[in-house]
Amino acid sequence: MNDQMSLSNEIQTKVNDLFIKGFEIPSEKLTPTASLYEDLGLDSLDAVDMLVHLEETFKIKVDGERLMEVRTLQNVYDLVAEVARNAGSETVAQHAPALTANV
Amino acid sequence: MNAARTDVLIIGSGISSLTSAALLAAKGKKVRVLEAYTKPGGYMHSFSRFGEIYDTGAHYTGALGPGQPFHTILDYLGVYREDLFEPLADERFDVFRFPDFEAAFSKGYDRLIPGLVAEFPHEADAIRAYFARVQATVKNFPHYEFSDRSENDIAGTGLDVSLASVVEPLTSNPKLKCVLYAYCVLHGVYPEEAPFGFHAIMTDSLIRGAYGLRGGGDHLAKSFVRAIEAKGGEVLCKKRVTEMRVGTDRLVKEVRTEDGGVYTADWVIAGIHPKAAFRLLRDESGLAYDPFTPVFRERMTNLEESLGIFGVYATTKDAPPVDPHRNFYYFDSSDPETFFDTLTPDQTPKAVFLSSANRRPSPEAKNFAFSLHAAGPIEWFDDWRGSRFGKRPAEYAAKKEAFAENIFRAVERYEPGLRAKVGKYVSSTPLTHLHFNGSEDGTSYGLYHSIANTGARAIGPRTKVINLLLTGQSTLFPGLLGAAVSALRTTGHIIGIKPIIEELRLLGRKNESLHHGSGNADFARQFG
Repeated sequence: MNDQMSLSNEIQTKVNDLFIKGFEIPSEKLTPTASLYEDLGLDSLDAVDMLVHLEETFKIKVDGERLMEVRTLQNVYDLVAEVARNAGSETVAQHAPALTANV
Repeated sequence: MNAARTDVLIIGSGISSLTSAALLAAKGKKVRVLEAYTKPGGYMHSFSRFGEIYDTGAHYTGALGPGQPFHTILDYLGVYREDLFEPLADERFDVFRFPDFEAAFSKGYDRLIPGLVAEFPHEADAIRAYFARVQATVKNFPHYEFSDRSENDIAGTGLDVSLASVVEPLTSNPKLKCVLYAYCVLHGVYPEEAPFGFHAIMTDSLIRGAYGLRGGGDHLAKSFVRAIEAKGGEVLCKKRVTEMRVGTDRLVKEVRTEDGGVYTADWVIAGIHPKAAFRLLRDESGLAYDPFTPVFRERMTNLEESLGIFGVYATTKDAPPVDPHRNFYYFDSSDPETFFDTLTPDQTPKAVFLSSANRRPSPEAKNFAFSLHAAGPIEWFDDWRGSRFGKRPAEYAAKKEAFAENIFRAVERYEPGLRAKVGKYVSSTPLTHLHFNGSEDGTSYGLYHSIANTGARAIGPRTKVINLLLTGQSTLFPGLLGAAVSALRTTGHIIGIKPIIEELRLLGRKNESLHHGSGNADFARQFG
C-alpha cells in the first residue's frame, strides 16, 4: 500500500512538474479536476508533446489513441499509473528523471 | 508579381512541396513555390557526369504499377508519364548479398513468397506470416490504400510496434532476419526502433511495383512544375527564404527572401526540415519569434536526425557486370545485430547499395553507369563544414577518396574486378546534401523515423503558428513515396482530404482495370 501511495505521489509530482516547467502553467491551477484544454489551455499539439514527455520520463509506452480519453489532470495521473503498473512499477521509481530545468 | 498575394506559399521544392503545390493548384488554389537552389526537385535532383545522368536521391521507388498508390497520386496530379519510369526486373529486382548466402525479392507476393520459401524451406510459415502481416497492415493507412479511415485512427497501422517485435517471434533464423531487415538500409532506422507500419509500406510498395527513374529525377521534378504551371501556379527558383514574419495573432504575415522579395499568402507550407522552418520565424519587427512551449523546445532539441549518406557515382569502361534492372545490397556481415552500424571512414562500410544510373542502357552499351551508397555521417566531415561547395580543400577530397575506395573494397568482395573497370567516379558527402538541399546535418531521410517520432508522435503537419503547415519526409515517412503521401496529409488541412482520397481510390481502380497507367488526364480533369 505504501509503495502504491509513493508511486502515486511520484507520478503526481512529476506530471505537475511537466505542467509547471514544460507548459509554464501556474501551480495553483493544477487541481485534479482541471481540464487540460479548457482550464490549462493545452491544444492537441501540446497533448502530443505531453505524451512524448511522459513516455520518456516514466519509460513507458502509451497507446497514442488513449490521448482521446484524457480530459483532466486526474486522467493523466491515472493513465500513467495504469500503464506504469502494467509495465512494472519499479521502472518508474528507478528511471524517472526529474524534469530538467532547461526545458 | 511579388506583391500579389497567393492562397498558399510553399517553401522548398522537394517532392512533398511539389505534390502539395500540384494538388492545391488542381483544386483551384493560387500557389507559389519558393526554392533556394537554381532548379526545383530537392532530393529528386539528378546531375550529369561522364556523359551519364546520376540521381542524388531518387534511385528507385515503389507502388508505381498501374492502380498502385504512387502511380495513382502522380496520375491524379497530371504528373505521371510512362517515360519517366522504368520497371525493375520481375525476378530478383532487389538482391541481398551476405558473406555466406544470397537472397532476393521478386515482384509481386506470388513470386516473392515461393522464391523466399525455396531459399528458406524450413521457414515457410514465418515467411508467409510476415508478408501476410505486411499486407494486412498497409491496408490500414488511408493515404496509401485510399480508404475512408480517419488518419487519426492508428489501430492496426503497426506504428506503435517495432519491426523487430514482429519479426523476432516469427523466426530465430538469423539469415531470414537479415533479409527481412535489409530494407532498414532505406530508412536508416534500427529494427528495434523502426515502426513496423512504415517498414511494411516501404516493403509492400517495392514488392508490388519497384521502378527506377528513366533519365533522372530532374525529369520528374519538371513534370511536376509543368502540372503546377498548367493550373496557374508558380515555381520560383533562386528564392532563398530568410524569414517568416508572424503577427501577434500567430499568423504568418510575410515571407521574405534573400533577394529582397516579400510574399504574402493565407497559408504557408514548409517542405523543408522542421527545425529549419522554425529557425525562419520572426516577429513583426524582425526579432526571433518563439511560440513554443518549453517542453516542445526540449523535444526539438533532443530529436535525432537520420543517417548521413555517402555516395559514389561511377562509370565503367566495360558493359554492365550486373543487370541494370536490379539493385544490389552488399552486406559485410550476416549478423542482423550489426549490419547497420556505422564504423569509421577508415574501414569498409557494413552495407552498400548499388543501383544503376541508367536503367535502360542500349544493348550496345560499352559502359555501365552506377552509384554506390553507404552510411557516412556528417561528423566525419565536420572539419570542412565552414568551407564552400567547389572550394573545399584537398584534405576533404582525400578523405572522400579514401572512403570511396573503402566502399569499392566492400563491393569487390561480391563483384570482383569491378573497381578495375571503373574509369572515373565522383563522390558526395552529407556536406554536399547540405549545400544542395539544406537538409539538417546533410542527412538523407530527415528526422530519425523511430517509433517515438512517428504516427501520433510525429512533428507536423500543424504547428503553433496557425497558418504554417509542415510537409515532407520528416513529418511522415522517408523516400519519394513517403514524402509525396505526407503532402496529402498536409494539404488536407487546407482543402479537406476526404473527397480527394475518394477520387484517388476511384482513379486507382480505373487504372488497375485498364492495366496500363498513363494518360488519365480526362479523368483527372473531371475531378480537378
